[in-house]
Amino acid sequence: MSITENRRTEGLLSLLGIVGEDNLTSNQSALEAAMVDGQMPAAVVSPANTEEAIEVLKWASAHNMRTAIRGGGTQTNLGNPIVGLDLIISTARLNQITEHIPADLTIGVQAGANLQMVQDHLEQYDQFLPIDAPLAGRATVGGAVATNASGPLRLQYGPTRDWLIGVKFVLADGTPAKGGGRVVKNVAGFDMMKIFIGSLGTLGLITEMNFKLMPLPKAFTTLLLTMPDEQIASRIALKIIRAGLFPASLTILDNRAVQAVLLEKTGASQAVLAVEVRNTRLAVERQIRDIYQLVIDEVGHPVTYTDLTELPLQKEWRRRLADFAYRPSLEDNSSFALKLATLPSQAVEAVDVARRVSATHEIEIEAMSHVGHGISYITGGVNNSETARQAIVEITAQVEKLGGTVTAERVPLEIKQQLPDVWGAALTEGELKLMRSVKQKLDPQNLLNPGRFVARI
Amino acid sequence: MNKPELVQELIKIFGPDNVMHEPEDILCYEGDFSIDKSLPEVIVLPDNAGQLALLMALAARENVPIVPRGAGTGLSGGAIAVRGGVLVAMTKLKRLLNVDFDNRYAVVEPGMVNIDLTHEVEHAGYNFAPDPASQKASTIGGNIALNAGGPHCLAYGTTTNHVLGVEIALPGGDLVSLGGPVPDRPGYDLTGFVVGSEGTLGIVTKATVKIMRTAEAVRTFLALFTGVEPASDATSAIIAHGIVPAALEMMDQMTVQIVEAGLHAGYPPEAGALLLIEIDGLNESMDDLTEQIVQICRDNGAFDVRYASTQEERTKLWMGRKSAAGAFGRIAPNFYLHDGVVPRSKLPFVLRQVSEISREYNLPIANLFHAGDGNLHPNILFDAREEGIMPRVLEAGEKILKLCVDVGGTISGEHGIGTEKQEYMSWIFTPEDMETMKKLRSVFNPDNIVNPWKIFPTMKSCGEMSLKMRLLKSKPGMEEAWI
Repeated sequence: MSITENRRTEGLLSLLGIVGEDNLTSNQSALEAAMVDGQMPAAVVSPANTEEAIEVLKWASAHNMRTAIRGGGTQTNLGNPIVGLDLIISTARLNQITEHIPADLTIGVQAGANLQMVQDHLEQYDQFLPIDAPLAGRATVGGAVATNASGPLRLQYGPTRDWLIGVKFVLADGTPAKGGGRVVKNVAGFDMMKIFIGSLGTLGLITEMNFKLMPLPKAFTTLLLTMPDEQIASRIALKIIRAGLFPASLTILDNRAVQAVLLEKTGASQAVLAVEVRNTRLAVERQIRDIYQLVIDEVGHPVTYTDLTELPLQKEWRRRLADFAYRPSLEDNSSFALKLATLPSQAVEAVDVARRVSATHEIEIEAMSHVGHGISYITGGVNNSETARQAIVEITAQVEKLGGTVTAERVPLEIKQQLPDVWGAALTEGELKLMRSVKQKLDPQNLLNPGRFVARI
Repeated sequence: MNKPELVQELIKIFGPDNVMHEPEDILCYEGDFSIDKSLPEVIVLPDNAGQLALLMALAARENVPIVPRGAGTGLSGGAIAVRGGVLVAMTKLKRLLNVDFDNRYAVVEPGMVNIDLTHEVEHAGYNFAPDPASQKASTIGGNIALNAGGPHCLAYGTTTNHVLGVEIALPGGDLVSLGGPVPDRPGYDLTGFVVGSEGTLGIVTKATVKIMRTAEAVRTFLALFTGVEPASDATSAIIAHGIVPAALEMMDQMTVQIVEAGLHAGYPPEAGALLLIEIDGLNESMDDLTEQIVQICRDNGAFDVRYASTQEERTKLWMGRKSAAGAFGRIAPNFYLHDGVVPRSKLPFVLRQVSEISREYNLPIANLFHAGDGNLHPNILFDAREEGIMPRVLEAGEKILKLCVDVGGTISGEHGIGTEKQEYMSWIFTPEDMETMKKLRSVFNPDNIVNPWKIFPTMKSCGEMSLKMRLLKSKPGMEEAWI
């Protein structure tokens, strides 16, 4: 038995004492399901509360256990390959809504609370959490925060950072701490929420979060407008914003993306601009009217459109947009999904760059741009790992040249292992110096998700 | 390094016209709008980021405390040189560097006055959303340091929601650019961590901020109530009804009367409390929302609800709110303003308790505040010349803050901790919470030379500082001044 194996076995016994037999898994199939980047942990431990989480992390740090945190498992592929993995802490049992006072428009949830469960709960009160992360049915709120996930409605509501008002966490050495609180305005102390959003489990285990909420809009609808091409769609989208028509989301789908997500096959061979508006009933009517008029003026003739007004249809459409890079037809081992972040006005240009580069490597992509806020996703099939890898590297370099960034959010492991960095190379040495120092201060033993973050932090 | 040597070094960096060290010059920079005061040794007026990098290198080398200052309108002592040293007046660094309407951002220097940015972009139908009452004077750099709020952050969020990137000069002389107009820059969100750090991490030398499309329609309501309780109920009911107004402000009767006598804003002095409610959006929303708001206010006891129909009337209504602090001088020469926040649903209870505290300490307390956010602004009115009054004022203020904390709130919603509330931090944060924050401070500012002795409890007394200590502390020269 190797030293590592030995350490692992001793460890399991101590962990049993903390969480009890039912909440510690070393069962082979469960461990395989929880693998990160092909690495199998010795155990998956599920603390029931903060106290247990503290004990688990203390123990893990005392035994130098390299630890990954798992929520719904929807983003396990995100990040550079983990350097080593001994233990997974699952937030499966930290899954409660801790406090919801509808009149305060705030909610407290534990990290492992399912995102859709939280939304369903809030819907009974005509409220919602404005975070439309992918795979909400499986994703946890903690996971959405740790990965800074967002969706189409970010144009109207802003990113996760605008909604998180308090965070409780346990650091790598088992120290519990927090930032913020339960009230919607709070400047006491440093903004720890910001440090934890998007930190990918590299600084500590988020145990609980408080959010601001929004009331559900009185009326909403989505217009799916057929566009001659993506450039025109982009120009129109930005004009809709400049005209003061306040769209809630603006998404351009190229023709292949349309085929991939459309509710009913329309046979459309063109790009689609999807515009959602959310407002009072009369205002929605006006927005739709003005937006359609603006489209006709720009295109020069009427265009075909679908108007999604029914709630179930609307919800299904939103889900498909949010899940675009995670849609079931994309197989983990034979496809990739890249996130392109650019200025809104350059989103379509960046996608075009990606399409051209991909074509030279004989890869056909599907592209979706949330052109109002500058986040685009492209997906493509992998027939040959090496050409796909080359395409990803070139796309990253070219989009960075435009001033944007690329994250290889979902790529087969064999490609990921050969990429210089799934987060690209946009960060400056000055930024990296500070980020390495942040990691060093909060996780000096480098035990949490080692190597997965930017520049292998 | 002694003071003459330091002055020589500073003159090399900033030029003789931008370094001041005579007693009469320094005196102008001894305080901000808080109670505390302390004298810096030298004032410098930078003109570019490069000078600040040089200053930060010098400061780290010689262990010279550095305190950045915008317009000095801060209310928590953030711009006070408690350890002496060099005070950096950012007022010359105020250029607008870039505006991009398609991508809705502007790049500014930190000394730019908040309202000036809106003036620069309003011709195209845009605005910079954070609107602290001080917006005609306060700088964007100062707003960033304190994560400033304002009436309209109810709908649009506080300053942090509007800062996309910063360039920051760090102790040692590094000039680092963080974040930017492109969303989701990989890595930790250091921009978000810098905002609200009260100048304790470094000096922001440039900022990329959001500009927002201005709504075509605005309507401002004045709802009059018999007292603060029905007004609080109406506030809760509006939010509970699914309406998040652009702004929702409350004034109690004392404030209404003081403001009306001084400013003639058109507030009926017989009102026991008033709500100033603003909605914005598309024209088509206005009538629908108006109907609902009027109904909710009436259902909760409003005896009159009116709305401003012209821009002039609107401006007048807001002038009363934004200039209220100045009117307090009619009643008492001094006021001590707090900034606690409570969950919105706790407002009626908390306001009742505040008036109890007013009676108990025999001190008039005027309330005008961001009701929609639950962000209280109780103003304790007093005359500092009255023998022995200060401990009473401070204790009453402390009691109000404690009350906010007890109901699940916090000690500051938008003014910051600074020197004013650092001893109260332990009411809401454990030693581990604060240790973690300090660890992160040390990433940027390892030797605590930028804005030292702020935010966290002082080294002298880890727990709560006695009132006596606070009083001593408020006198200049009592701390171990630098040099």
